[in-house]
Amino acid sequence: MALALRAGQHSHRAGAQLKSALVLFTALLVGCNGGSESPVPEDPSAQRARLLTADQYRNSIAAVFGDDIADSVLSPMPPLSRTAGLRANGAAEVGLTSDQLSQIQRSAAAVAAKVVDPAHRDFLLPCRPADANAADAVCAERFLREAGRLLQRRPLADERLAALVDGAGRAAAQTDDFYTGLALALEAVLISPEFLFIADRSEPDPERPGARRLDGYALASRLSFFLWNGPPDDALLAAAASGELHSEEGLRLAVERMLASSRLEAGTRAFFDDMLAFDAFDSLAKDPMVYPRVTGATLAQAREQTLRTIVDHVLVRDLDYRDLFTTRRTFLSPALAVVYGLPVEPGWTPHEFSEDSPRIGLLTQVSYLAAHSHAVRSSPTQRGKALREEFLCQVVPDPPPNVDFSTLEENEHAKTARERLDAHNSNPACAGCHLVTDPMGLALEHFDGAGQYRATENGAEIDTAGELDGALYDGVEGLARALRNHPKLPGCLVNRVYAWGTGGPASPVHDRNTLAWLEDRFAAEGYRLRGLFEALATSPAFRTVRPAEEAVKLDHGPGPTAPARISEAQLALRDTGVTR
Amino acid sequence: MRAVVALGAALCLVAARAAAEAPPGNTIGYVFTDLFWSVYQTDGAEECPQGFNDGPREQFAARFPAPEKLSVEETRLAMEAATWHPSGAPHDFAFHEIESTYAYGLDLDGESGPNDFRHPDGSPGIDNEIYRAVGCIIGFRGPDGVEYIFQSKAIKDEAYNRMMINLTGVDSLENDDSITVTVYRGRDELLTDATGEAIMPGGTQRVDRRWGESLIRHTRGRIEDGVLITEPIDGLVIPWQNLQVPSVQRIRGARFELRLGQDGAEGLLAGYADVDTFYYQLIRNDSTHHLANGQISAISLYKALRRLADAYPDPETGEHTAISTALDVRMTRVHIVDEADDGRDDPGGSAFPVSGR
Repeated sequence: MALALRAGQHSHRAGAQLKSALVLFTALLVGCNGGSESPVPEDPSAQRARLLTADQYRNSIAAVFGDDIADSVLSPMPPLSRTAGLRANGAAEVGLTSDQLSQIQRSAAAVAAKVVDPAHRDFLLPCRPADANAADAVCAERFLREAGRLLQRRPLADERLAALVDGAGRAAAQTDDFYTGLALALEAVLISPEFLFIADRSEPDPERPGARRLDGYALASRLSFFLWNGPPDDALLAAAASGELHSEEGLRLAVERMLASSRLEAGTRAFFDDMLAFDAFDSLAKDPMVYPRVTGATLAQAREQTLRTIVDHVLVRDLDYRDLFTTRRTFLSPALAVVYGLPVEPGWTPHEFSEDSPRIGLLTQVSYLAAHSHAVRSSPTQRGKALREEFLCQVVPDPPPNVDFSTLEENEHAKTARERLDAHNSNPACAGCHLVTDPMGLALEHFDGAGQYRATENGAEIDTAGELDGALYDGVEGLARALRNHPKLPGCLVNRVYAWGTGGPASPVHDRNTLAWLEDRFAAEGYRLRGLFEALATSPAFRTVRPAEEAVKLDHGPGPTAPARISEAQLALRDTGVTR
Repeated sequence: MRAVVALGAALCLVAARAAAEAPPGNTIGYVFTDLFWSVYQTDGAEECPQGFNDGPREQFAARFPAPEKLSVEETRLAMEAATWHPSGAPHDFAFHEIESTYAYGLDLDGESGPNDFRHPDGSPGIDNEIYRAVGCIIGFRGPDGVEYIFQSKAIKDEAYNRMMINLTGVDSLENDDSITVTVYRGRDELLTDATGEAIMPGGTQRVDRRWGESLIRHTRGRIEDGVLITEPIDGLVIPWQNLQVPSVQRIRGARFELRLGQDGAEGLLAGYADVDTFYYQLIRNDSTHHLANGQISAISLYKALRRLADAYPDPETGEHTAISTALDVRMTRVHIVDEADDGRDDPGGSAFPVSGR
């Protein structure tokens, strides 16, 4: 892989200049024709190698071997740092320690053992060995060729396949068990960097001399992890093999099929789960004495409620993304209904809040309100900060290390959050940030720290008036509409989708043309998410790449970088056969 | 301190205002979370000066001092037969009834006779002969009697025994001279709160119209100073479950006296329990193992129940068939959803029901 990535590091200065000229030329042509559509920019996206996320690891195992095997093993992938609004972005920067690699190896062994166990082997293996107590190279090759292709998302090189088959045979001979040998070879595939890393392998772009494009398999992987959060299926790999993905029509048909697939829901849920920082729910808890009606199940279902709302809105109904912030439609479960104060059927049932309800849009769902609150009380500051960061892609600095909380805590006569937070406005050191967060959070103060409605706070009326970047409102509905109509809202989603799709943060320099074009397309198509997905997936930026500095580290960086270590481990396996 | 008092007063005022307000839709539902025979207990068990009753294990030992010399038929099976084919005739074992002036319960017959108890609050005429029968049996006494423990636990753990009441036409939870009370069986599990100990209010219960239709009862009631008092329901059937065994209790002339709140209700369900139903519920739900654990001699208890039964005489024999009782009941507020009332079968209805906050 290191060699392949190195091949993608060529300088593209000349190509970039040519492309800029082409963009300008195309723009002039469009202008002459009086066309209203902006030209399609041809700036390439960054070339990266990124680690599978925990979900992608799980989905990969499930796609090839089934849910039961995937769910029998905890994903060994390490947690990722949130970068530019997405945890997935951290996958392009993360390294692996030897301990983490050891975890991955243990999971690989567990998965491999499951695949060949008596309960699974008859339907997961395409053949039976002539003798279960001896090596069978023909059967081993049949299995490893196909499993390797699906797991590594490209065909195994002949030399690699031969080494795996040889390793399986030698292990079978040593243990007198064909399946033990096969499991060992499969384990080697599962710890290989080709499986663990999604590498943007590239090749010269024949249509643009000097530029590089993703090779067919890398494009297939980028498409499938973007839209499905999982590996390519057989049809997509076949399209990659045949070269169809490199034709405009072939790519369009592939994307069309992927957008029509039920797997699109998994990809969409994963994207929004990441964008909304729902990983916080993995450790979120409320004080049971303060919020006895909010259990662990309630919080888990709050996360699910929002994801269901989003999927229904943007996929099932194909509605304007911005209306997620003003929609009254959602879904309820029995545990959540207690918090919302509503009767409900068992299971998940659709529900629409009435027009006079304070529940309007995602901001008023329990997930948002509870996740951005303290364990025992609400937090207008956290809620306002999250609004700016998650939906407007703005960055609110953390409080300075010497912040004096006493002004807040000592205001014991304050009954409402607004009165408590007034202390910030009188302190210039605090006011700078709090003035950009608190007004939005205070509009949500009719909901306590668990997201339950309250008419008053400590017996006092709650003032929910405020302003969001010039839009004045007197309550939560006004805030919802102000956010819905905020000019930064669509652009932020475009930025996040671009990063999610291309595997790393968008560059404000290199990607700005593409982002602007995508935002225009998004607006022109009524802010439909499907349209945005399609536009990005079929765009030149998606299929062409520019050298990435990060990738250079794979070859030349200091020792601790994980891919280098994995390569060494993999090479060791190749050298010695598949033995432990 | 002054601030605390002021806050307390303010909270009381808020609570009072809330109670005085009509519930949404003039309707409020409650689901049973605890239900057990009401037993008035003092710390020193002064109401049982003769001590507690022996159970089957003690009676077996007294009756068969050398059981190894007898056959199984003559010993264990003989006691099983006596348990399952009980007789009201006296036998050799002493039975300790309650010897107390006080009991919880209601004045069911409107009379104050020599056999009546006095409520601890001083009210006379309390009818509760089941208390007289079971009050000195360890298994029926809290906090660790086997019946006491398992009965309410079963309500939280099971769904067969899901009982609830729906109050309609409620103008105020504080005072309303006429409301409708409907008893239903529910279909859904109870939701435990974040402490893991309490049932949280605000859950939803669907009315069981399939198997629970015959259990539905209607009556009228009134609310006085926050307490619901209903008119009698003749033939209330309570699905009862204990130790995973389903059974029922039949209460004649059943009436509720409940202090109502926004989140729950608490009080008494009183009436006349059918003697045979009471008895067979007990022995069906409890094996000899559990009866022995609670020192409950079913054989002796049956004789006491027959002896103390005080209502609904058999028209042929004149023997009373029912015995006055009271059950402590606690309930939690729920949304009661009755498919007979909504429009879900309406093909033109919205897939998204519209309501609330």
